[in-house]
Amino acid sequence: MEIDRRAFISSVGGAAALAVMTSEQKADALEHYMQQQLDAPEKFPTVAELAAKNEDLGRPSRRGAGNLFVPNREGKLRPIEKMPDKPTLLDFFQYRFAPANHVLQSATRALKTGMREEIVLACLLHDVVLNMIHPDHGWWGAQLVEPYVPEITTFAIRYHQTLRFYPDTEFGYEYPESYFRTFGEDYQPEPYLARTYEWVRNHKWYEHPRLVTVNDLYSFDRNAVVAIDPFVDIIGRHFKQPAEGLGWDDSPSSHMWRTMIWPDRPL
Amino acid sequence: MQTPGVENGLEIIVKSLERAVNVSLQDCPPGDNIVRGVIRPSENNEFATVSIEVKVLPSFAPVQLAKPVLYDEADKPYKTAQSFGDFNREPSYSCSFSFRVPKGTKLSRFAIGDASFDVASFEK
Repeated sequence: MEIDRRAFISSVGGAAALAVMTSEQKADALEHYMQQQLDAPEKFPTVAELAAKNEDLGRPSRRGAGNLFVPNREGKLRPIEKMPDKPTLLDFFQYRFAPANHVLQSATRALKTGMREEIVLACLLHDVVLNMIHPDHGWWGAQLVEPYVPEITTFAIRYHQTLRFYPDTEFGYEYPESYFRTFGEDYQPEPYLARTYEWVRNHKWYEHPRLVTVNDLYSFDRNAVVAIDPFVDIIGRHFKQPAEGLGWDDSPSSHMWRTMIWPDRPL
Repeated sequence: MQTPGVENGLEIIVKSLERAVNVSLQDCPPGDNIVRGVIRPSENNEFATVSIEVKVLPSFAPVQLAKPVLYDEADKPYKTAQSFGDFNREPSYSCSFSFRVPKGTKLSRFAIGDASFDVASFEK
């Protein structure tokens, strides 16, 4: 069962109340909370309710800010380690994307189900740009890796974002419940997404981003043990690592890699 | 009471057929994945969820089974987003498969590989 940490803390009277509880009291409170959640169907927010939350100007950050720039659940920024002078993709996984659990799970599933290597690579890279920015992450993510990966991989990353809003039972993709929480129960994809969907749906490469969504949907297991090691050879075969290092090779997306190397740079 | 069917050393019995708009998409046998699928309020679809019980027989040998398929009265097939995991993780287990179908579709049978199970009786 998924626990909404904020809702649970709120149910016991806030963080201050939780802080003075004994371990036993906390366990009881959690059990009580979980029982309540099982008994009552979850009420999902509407688009209007989520938009109202955006009016809160006292928030630590806006929802679209990349993970490198916002506090984590404990309210702290992630430490930024110095990167090697000529950073590779594997260095980014180690120093900037870690733990990268979701994309590693997604790629692991793609590998296990025998998908072609370009799609395994797309699964591995499909959400890494969320470390920099969230809105339209399909387009941003594709742009980030476009100079270095096969065209199929770029296509799959660019359009997986759009296809996430459209179920396709032929491929085994369902509309995820988490989108009710993230976008609102009554959310309808905006016209630009609807147009993009129609275009991609009729494209000869439709299956490639669709396969990314299939693996995306199933890759939110917090207990999964995953590692980058099974993908090192695939990266070696399909990712054109620049000799100068990512960020320093004057490619059309070098500035994006540098932004992640230096998230504290003021300008 | 449904009759069990045997497919590749797995004894399978269908326990129920239910309709819902919010379902678990866990693999079978169930793992730790918590993903759920939903029908949006604007849609004219629903999930038909088939629950099964599986017993791993001594004759079982690891195999890659195709995803189950659900058929309506006109024998139109419906696919599921869910997959089989490691069949012999447990000696027996319960799991369910959900299929997106138009609201009110009358369903006739559920198939796993060559094994076919009548589900029309659950519709009454």
